[in-house]
Amino acid sequence: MSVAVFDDIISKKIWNGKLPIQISLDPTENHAFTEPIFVILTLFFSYSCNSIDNMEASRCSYLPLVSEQLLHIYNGLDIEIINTEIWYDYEGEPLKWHYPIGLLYDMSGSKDRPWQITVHFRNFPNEKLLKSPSVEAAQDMFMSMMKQADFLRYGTTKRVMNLSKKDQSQLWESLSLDRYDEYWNVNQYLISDTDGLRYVPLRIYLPDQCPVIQEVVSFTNKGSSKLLGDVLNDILPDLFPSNLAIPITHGIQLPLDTPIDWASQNLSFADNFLHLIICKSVS
Amino acid sequence: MNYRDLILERLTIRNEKEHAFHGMIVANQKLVQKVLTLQTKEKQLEVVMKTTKIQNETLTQAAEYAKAQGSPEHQHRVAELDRRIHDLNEERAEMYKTQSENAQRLVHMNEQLQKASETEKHNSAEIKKLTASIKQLGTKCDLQIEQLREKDTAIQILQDEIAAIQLEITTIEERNKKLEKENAQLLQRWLDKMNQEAEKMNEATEFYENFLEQARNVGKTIRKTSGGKWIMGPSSSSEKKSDQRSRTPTVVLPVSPIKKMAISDGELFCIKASTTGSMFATGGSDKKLRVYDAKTGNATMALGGSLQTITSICFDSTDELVLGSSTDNSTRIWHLGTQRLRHTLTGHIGKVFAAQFTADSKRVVSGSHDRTLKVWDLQRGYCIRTIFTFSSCNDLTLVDVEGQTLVSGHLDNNIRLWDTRTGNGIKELTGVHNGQITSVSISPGGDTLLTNSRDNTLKMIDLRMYNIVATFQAPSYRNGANWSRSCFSPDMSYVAAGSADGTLHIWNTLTHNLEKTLKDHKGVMCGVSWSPIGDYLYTAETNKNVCIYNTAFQI
Repeated sequence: MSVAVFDDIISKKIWNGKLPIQISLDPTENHAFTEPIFVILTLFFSYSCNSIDNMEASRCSYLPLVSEQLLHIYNGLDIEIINTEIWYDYEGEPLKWHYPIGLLYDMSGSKDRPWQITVHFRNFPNEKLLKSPSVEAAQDMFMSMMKQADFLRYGTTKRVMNLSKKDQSQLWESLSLDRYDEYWNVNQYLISDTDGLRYVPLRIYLPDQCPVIQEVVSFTNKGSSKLLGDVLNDILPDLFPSNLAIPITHGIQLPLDTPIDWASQNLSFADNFLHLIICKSVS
Repeated sequence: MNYRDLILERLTIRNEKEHAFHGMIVANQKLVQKVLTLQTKEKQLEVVMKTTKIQNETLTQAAEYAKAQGSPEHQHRVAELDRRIHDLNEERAEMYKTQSENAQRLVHMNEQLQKASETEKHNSAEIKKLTASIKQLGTKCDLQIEQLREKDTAIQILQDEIAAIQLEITTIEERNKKLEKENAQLLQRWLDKMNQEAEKMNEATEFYENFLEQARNVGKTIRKTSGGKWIMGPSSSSEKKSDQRSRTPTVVLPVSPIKKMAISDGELFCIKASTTGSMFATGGSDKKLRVYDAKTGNATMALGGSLQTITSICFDSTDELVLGSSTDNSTRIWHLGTQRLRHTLTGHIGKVFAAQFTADSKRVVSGSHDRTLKVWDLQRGYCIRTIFTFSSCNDLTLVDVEGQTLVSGHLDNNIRLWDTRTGNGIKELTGVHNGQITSVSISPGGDTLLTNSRDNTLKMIDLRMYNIVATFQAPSYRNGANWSRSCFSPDMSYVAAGSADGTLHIWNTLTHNLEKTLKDHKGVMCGVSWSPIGDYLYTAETNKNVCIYNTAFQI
């Protein structure tokens, strides 16, 4: 069983996964510091919006893109944002802005709908988060993940590197603008080649701030395609197979007999990585 | 179910849950957008309101202002008009100013114009004058040119004449030369003839003398009126007759003077018999050259003109001229016929002690204490040759009658012979004497020289061999003066010299013996001179006395 077929339906569903988010302003940050304008604004703001913004974010997208939208709204509302070092947190835990939002939601283990997170403009936690969460930085991180995935998959980054600048930007832009067809126009060159597959681009996240596991996993096991269960067994033999843990991605539990190459093709995030979260199983 | 279906089912369930809020969120977003737009609009309206308010205010202000001031248009017009009035006033003022300036300038210009016209009149008058003068000058100039032209032609003519005359002169000169040559030739022939006649006469006289001898023995007295040999010049040396030692003397030794004279006025320096024997002359410190009659001894002339002492005297060959050399560095020549001074030969820078005529009387040689001998040309009147003689010359004599060779005796005891043509020395005779030479005299034959010196000797020197033929001395003979002159007798038989004590000494030239001494003078004897015809011997002493002795053959 080898040839992984591009499953259009699955892929579309994965892409279109959206999360409702409720972003609240940090109330502590709206103290009137020095300027009276700020006071007026805060009053004004509190009057109009009650410091809440509801939006829908794509699971495959990134937080800095959300920040962009937020800024737009806040500027329109005449709310001055002095510090553009925006960061988010969920229940006190700063959210890593270079992870996809879907991954963050699943990692947080929250079942809220909408996902209630707070936006901060000051006191950027430099110890916990990477600095300067701008859209350009997110783009750079995204592209580096793509190259990693390409390298792991084929053993060279030539496919990514050979993309024209326009194609590279198109990857990111189509992601930020939610254009499935445009994205897959480019991305198909990167993952559709079934020859020379080497290792699976895979990242495994464990709860409680465990370090991320990124191990070398080959696609085939003595000629036949590996299954997810095999892979997990290789990596976490204590946990798999057993009833203790389940692999989750994109908010769904994956069956262990999923072929890994099919999963890599269809269940990857926008950066062509499979991000698996290991959760305690709920029996 | 296979994995795929499981996954699909799970995804669908997820989506149901998570997309529940989709509609609400969308609505929310829309509301937010609307709020934003409304807010921006509100802001814009506020801005507009503010600007309109301000505008309103300004307009009301302007309206009020306009009401107060009348319409702004009026304002403008009034202001403009005011300005224009002001400008026009200024312009007018300026115009007045310029007008006054111009008036002034006009006046000034008028003045200048007047002045200019005056000067112009003045100038034109001057110009007229100048043109007139130019015309005059032009005509004068033309005249001058004409005159010049005439002069040029005259010059041309004169030059042509000169050329013609010069040609004539040259032809005449040539003719003259030819004539001279002919003359010379004729003279020569005549002389030859005369010589022949003389010879014949000599032979006749010889014969006559022989006859006389015989007659003497018989006891007759025949007085010779003229005797001696006649040697006339210019004659070639081949005709010169040499002395014959064996001749019998034709002079006789004097016994006593026939006359004694005292010449007053100064010391006597020299005495000389004339060439013809008709007179003799003395010269001395009285600056006068006195000429006396040969026989009587009466003074015939006293020739003046010399500025100082006359040191030597010479008569020319025809006794027309006499010269006297003087210590005033000059030699003077007088013409005996007119008794007038003919020439003064100046040029020596020392005392002239001796001078002689050449036989043709055209030249004079003089010797001086400035160590030179000078040859003078009497026709031209100036010195034609100066011979430097190294030593002051005391006496000189010409060897030959043409005046080619000259002998001089010097202060340095030497005797020198010179060629007068070239001025070169021919011979220097040293060691002849031990004292300065005081006299040189040539024998009548011209080949023997008699020298007298302060070493108290007289020597006869043969001029061909330059050897001393004879020495004459005597214990009583002492040369008393630096210019003491001695001489031969005309027949070469005797030599006479005066001594310092006044004794006249006569030696025989053949025997070299002292033959006679005659003491008729008291003082130093300065000179003796034998008349060329042999009849008289004249002696002089410095103390003004002169004695005349008769030396003619007589019984």
